[in-house]
Amino acid sequence: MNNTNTETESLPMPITQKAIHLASQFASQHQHPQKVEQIYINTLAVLVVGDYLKLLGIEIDLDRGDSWNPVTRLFENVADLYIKGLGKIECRPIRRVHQNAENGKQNLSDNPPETCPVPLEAREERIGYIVVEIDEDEKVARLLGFSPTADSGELVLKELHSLDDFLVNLEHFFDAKVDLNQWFLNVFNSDWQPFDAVFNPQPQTSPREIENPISSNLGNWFKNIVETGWQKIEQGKKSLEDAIFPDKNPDFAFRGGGSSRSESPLSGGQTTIRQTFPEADVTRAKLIDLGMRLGRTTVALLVAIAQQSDRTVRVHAQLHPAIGELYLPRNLKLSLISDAGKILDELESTVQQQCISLEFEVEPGESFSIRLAIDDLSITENFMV
Amino acid sequence: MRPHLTMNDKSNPSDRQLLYRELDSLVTQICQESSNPWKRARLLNQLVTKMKNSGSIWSNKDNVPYYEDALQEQWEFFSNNLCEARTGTQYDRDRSNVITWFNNYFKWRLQNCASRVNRENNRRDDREQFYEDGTAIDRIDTLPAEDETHAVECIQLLEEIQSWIETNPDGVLNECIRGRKDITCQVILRSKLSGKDFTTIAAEFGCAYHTIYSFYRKKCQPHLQKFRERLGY
Repeated sequence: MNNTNTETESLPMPITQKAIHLASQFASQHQHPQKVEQIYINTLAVLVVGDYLKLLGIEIDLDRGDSWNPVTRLFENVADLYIKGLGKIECRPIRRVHQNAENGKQNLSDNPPETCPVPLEAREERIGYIVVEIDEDEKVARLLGFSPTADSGELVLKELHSLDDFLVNLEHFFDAKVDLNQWFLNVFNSDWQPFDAVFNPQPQTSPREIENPISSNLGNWFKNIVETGWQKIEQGKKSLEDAIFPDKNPDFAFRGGGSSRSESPLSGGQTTIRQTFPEADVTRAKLIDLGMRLGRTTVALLVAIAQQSDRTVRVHAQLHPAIGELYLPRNLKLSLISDAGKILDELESTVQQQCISLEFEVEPGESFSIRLAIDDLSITENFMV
Repeated sequence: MRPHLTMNDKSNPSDRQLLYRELDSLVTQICQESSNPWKRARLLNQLVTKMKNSGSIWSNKDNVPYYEDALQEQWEFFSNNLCEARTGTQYDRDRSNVITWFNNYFKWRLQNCASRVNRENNRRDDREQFYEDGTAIDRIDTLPAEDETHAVECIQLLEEIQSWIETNPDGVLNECIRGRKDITCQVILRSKLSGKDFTTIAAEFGCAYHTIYSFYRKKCQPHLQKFRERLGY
């Protein structure tokens, strides 16, 4: 993955008239020369990276980027591009200025820049950064390379990773998503266990590390599996329910019924999942180690899913203390995040709270994340339907 | 940059053969890779990078302005029809190497663009709009442009936003950073609209840029969002 010692081979992409025309239209909105240039060059960068991804068969959606929002781009220096089902990458442009450019711009440096700045607003919820060198004289945009992070606010060009690394990174992102369609097929990664296994562990079971390499579900990229998956649910539903909802259910209840979210107060009147979410097709739980200083605090993330008649999937996500604890730690945040990085819903545990839960519906093909955050620690679980 | 094989006239024939063999092997691997789209994308990335950096892709000798558009279209055609006939005739390795196949179609595409430009000019000439010296008023040498309504909308939108920030009709933009009455949403939005980054604004006001940024995200952006929704964006 790391190839910082060798320079990467850049990829030239043509700057089309179509792209120039659109970039000019976007920029024409503005009178401040600095802002005109910013919007113009950001738009070009996004378009050429989009052209590149299309070439490789990777689906994008320009309209879901802030760079395509006519209001947001007026205020923020963003060149984000949404990759379907994965998230947003940032396409940071730098200009290549020729020494012998016309109008006698002799004093313009031909020394290519060594770094590429990445402003604050372009560092939010990005899954990676591509630096694009825009050479308008040659009508060529060179994809110089990739960086998975930009925490320092600038990217050192000679330390950029190759585009091959970029694609490997995308694949990892894709693999790290829990594919809920697979759950309907009774296929689970070993991190996601039946409730019984999580709350009544075998003696040798210990909390596992959170950085889990989740097995690949690449077949779903072409969405074939969705079709076959949905048929099998009905056949398997009865036995699945029997296996997953035993009559003597442990006291981990999905509450809330019709409401979109619920916070469970300390209460002895908990009901079983079968009663509160009887239509759940599949339920699984995962232990998550919060690694807090005073002892290792582990919580269990419970996820129950049900297929709706319109093929959307209803999801209950619930957070419980695990093994031997009565209450959740205080100020533990449970957030639902869209694949474009927006927080859609968020709950925070209070004193002596046994569980917090979110309930929502997901369209087929959509991705979402559930984030647990406490103090400086945050752990994100990514899902796709 | 790492040196790459160049395929200009001076290149060594054995280098060229080596490149063709390499490209051919990549094509085989790409077309066999049907189960893992990521692996396929990585191989395709290698193939495209090698071809583009080979110096053998038909260059813009006539300096035509539609060259880049035709080139991008050709790359899309290439990736669509390399292993199966999706939008045209599938590549046949027995007939030519992959670069020749690319270039043949590309030259045809360039000719096609040239006739589109000619047709458009003939159409314009028919309307007999000429300058006094006899030249046509709106002859083009690029592909016909798309309509400009989008640009007009963008300009109107900017005017509405500017007027909203300056008049601050419901007073919401008076919200300020605690203890800093001079740093209001109105001031920050005005600065951002002029293209200033958060670091510059922070320096101007002598305030930590994280404070400014977090204030923008938490306080100013929601107002902007509401205004945006009212406008229908």
